[in-house]
Amino acid sequence: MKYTALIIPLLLFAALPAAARGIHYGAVTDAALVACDQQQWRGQRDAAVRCYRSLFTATATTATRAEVAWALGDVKTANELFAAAIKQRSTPALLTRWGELYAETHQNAEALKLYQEALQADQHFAFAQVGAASVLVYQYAAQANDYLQPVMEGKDVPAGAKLRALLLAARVNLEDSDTSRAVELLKEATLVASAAKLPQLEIYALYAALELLQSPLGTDITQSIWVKKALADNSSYGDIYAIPAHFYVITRRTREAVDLFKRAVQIQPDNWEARVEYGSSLLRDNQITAAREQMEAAYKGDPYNVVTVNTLRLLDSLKDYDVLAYPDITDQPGSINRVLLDTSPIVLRLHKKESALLAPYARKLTEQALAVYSKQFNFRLKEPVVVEFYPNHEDFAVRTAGEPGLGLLGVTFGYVVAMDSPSSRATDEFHWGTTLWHELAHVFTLESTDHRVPRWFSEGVSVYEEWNTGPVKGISIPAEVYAAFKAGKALPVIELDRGFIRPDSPQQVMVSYMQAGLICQFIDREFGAARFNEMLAAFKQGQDTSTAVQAVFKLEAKEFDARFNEFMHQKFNKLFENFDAWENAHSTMASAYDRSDWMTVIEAARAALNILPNDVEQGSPYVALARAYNVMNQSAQAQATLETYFMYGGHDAETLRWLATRLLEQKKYAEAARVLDAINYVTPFNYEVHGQLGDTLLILKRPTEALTEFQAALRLNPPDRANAHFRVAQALQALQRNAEAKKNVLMALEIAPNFRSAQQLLLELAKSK
Amino acid sequence: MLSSLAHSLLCLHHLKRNLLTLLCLSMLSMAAEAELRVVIIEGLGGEPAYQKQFDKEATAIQVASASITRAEQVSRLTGAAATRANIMAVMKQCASSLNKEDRLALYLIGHGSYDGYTYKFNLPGADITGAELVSMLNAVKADNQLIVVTGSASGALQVLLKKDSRIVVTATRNGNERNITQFGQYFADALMDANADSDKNGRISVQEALDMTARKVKDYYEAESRLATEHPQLTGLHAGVFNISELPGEHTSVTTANASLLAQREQLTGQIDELRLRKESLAEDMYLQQLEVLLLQLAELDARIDTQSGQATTEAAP
Repeated sequence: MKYTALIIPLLLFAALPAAARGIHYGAVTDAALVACDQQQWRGQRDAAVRCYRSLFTATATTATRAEVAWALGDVKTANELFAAAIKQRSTPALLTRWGELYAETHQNAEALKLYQEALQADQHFAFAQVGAASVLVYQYAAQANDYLQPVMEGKDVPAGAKLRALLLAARVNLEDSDTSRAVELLKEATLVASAAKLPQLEIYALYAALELLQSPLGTDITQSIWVKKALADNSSYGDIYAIPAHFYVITRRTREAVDLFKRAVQIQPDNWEARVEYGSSLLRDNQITAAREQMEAAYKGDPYNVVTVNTLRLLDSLKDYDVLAYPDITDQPGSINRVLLDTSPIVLRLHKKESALLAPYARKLTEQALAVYSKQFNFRLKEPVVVEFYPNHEDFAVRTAGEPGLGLLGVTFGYVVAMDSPSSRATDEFHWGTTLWHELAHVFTLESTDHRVPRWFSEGVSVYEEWNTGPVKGISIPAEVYAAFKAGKALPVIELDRGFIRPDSPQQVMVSYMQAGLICQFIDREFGAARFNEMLAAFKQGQDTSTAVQAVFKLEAKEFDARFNEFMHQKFNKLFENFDAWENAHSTMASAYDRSDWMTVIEAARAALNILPNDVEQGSPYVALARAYNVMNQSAQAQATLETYFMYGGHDAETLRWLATRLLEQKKYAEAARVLDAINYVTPFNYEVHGQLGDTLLILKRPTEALTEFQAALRLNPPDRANAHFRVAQALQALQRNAEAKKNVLMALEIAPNFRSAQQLLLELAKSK
Repeated sequence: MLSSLAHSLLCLHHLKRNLLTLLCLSMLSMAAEAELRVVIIEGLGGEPAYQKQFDKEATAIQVASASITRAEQVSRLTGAAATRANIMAVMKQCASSLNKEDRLALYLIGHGSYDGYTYKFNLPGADITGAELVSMLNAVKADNQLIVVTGSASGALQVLLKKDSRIVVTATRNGNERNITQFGQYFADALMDANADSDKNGRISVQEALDMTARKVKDYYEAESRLATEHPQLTGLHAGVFNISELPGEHTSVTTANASLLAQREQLTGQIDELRLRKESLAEDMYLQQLEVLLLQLAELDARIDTQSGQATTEAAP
């Protein structure tokens, strides 16, 4: 079915004005129109506008008038005219240009359909192939390549299409840190552009980006030869700053990106894409008020960008968040006071509906992490760390990427950490304490290297810290990752960034996380964790992975990979050799569990654990084994099983509650407190756990912590409020805060006047006056 | 009973705004806590896991009921015996044996269905319909009736069974909530859970059990990040004073204490309730001061009563 008929209504209701019309590199051939375009590309904007207006006459073709309307920012009319022109006579060129209009108004799916319709008419139409590749390149790399390769290698391809293909490929290689390939492509692009007399502005911008990424920090981009060349050709070419800024964004150098985007919109105020990126970067730098200004301006210019709309909605919702600073520093939403204090100050941005409950736990864990990492990385933070929890995952996604649908749990922009709140997901979906611990390690690896640490090493250190110093210690790797390692899907260390930035499959991201963590584990075991700081120092100096590995470990990258593989085989040899047996044991255990065949569960779970003792992921054999023991009245074995599970980092909340109850029955209060405390970092919303932990802490004579737990329970509005108040009163009495204790015990008795324990406490408090 | 009196006054507090105080006065008639007849019906599970779950819930309710009424007053129909005919026979017996002042609690544990017109509780053989339940309950003379229906679509019964003197508790808010419910297990657990005893009188009322259950159901769906497909409902006026279980070792009913002490306690409890009614009109400090005086007197008095009746203050914090 043709797509043309369906698409017309989509833009008819679009508002004015809209996105700029980019350089088309010969995709449009009308000489008069191209003459106007050339004025536009040279930055002669007033002249170009006059020129375009002169073309919008009754005698011009419908297609030309569509292009003119688009160039003048009237995308609604442009859309109508393209539709009319195609109705008169549909050509691959017209369909492709219509697709470009959709792509520039952020409607990639519709754009792709038009490119594909053009390719149905002419499967070799190069401009449509490049258009399709441009849309797909950030979604499905392999498919994008299918479109791009014929254009790059074809002999009779129009120069403009080839140039666009080369620019796209250069950009992708630059994003993948393959600078030598990027340079080759840019050289070829220069030859093509020169021969065909096509604009070279984008070539300059990519060269400027390349130069900037390889320069020392603080390099003044305005002195770049490429910037000078571009501005000489077009003094209002904002992308000469915005394109390098994009590379700062993807290498997480937010502040440098902010500076460049600012320059971009200064020289080209209607570069709405750059303005949105400017606003997003300001937001990542926690400059909320400034971010809003840019987003509002961008919305006026280009209301079709979903990132702008989503971000403005998110900014509106920030009024529902509390901003809590520890220790107290002056802080207003939108402008974090960057006071340097002796201790590492932290700022929590938590939704009002859960801030009182979460703040003590988020604060405690953040302070612990900052203390551990400050020592570990020998790095003193220069600014407060801002931690944000989003109860709605899509708000977190918008905060991170401007759009919903993000698969991440947390993200770090320098001193700002944003993550899913524990309330945003089901209890067994994630361990929020571990996520926070992971992200806070990024603060150190990013800031200690001026954001020059490669992605793989930053992720590797964060995963390593999860396993070794985090709230749930122990190496935890999903089964599918082991299978991938066994299948040899680990990447060479110098290519590991690709596993995060441009994965071949969704699974490769997780495999890369685990591989990076295991590489850090390997470094720790073979060379000592002190080498982490040497690696960070090397990255700060601008060394790439290969050079840093050589400098720190005196090994070529290939030798390093070989040593790591040896380490992996030593560590997981038993699993790799018995992988099928392990998988069989797992599936036998699962099916036996379903039919309550407990003897088989015991046998299979033990077999699985014999091969991989640290298997505490979802569906862990420990949980099934403990259940089987329990059903068969072997509760001592069940308990011992779960103690091992907990030791390895198992954190299923229900399972840990069973273990804690057993420990409490045996009066093993300290052990029970550890287990109950661990549950809070999985799910902090269980009033029964808070109450149980508070009771245990009181027995252990730790009333301050007990009070925190009892207050958390009370905030969760439990059905038994009398007892909740009574517990708070008990802790306050233990802390000799008798006036507050009395108020709480009165509140308990107000609900339940004959509550004997509370009556006793009231009498005691009355006597102690 | 004293606890009932306290409940009544508490209810007075709750209902003040609705100008329904007169209704609460009628609850005083329940102070004697008439005989409680309990009928537990365990419906068809369909799958072994559900049947096992229903068994567990029915057993828990049976045990809890036996804590507050004589064991012979508790009937349970389960498995092949839980037929429509047998249910009708038991209810017929209730209709003939219970008097106006007696109490009846009927528990229906199992799946239900609703096609937009007819509610059916699933049984071996023919199901029993909502209309048949109405007819059976209306035939029972006992003024104070409780029916608890734990399964899917049970909310369809709310309109059918509605009657001031009848407490109707359902797992869902209407007949359109047709998914498997979590309600039953939490309600059964609540009957012997000290945490459900919010007024610490050692007894679990229908309202207390429902409050605990509703919270657990809500927490369950939140923890699972799932849209709640059940919303427990309660209609009827006596839920706060209709006790359905008694916690072990928590007997606050005193039979051996001096009658004058008991009278003093009633008087003090009344004063406390009266003060609570005036809470909003008093400054917080003033309110707490007055409350403290009364609560201290009550605490001392309760200690004397406990001593006299030879009962230690055994109620432990849950």
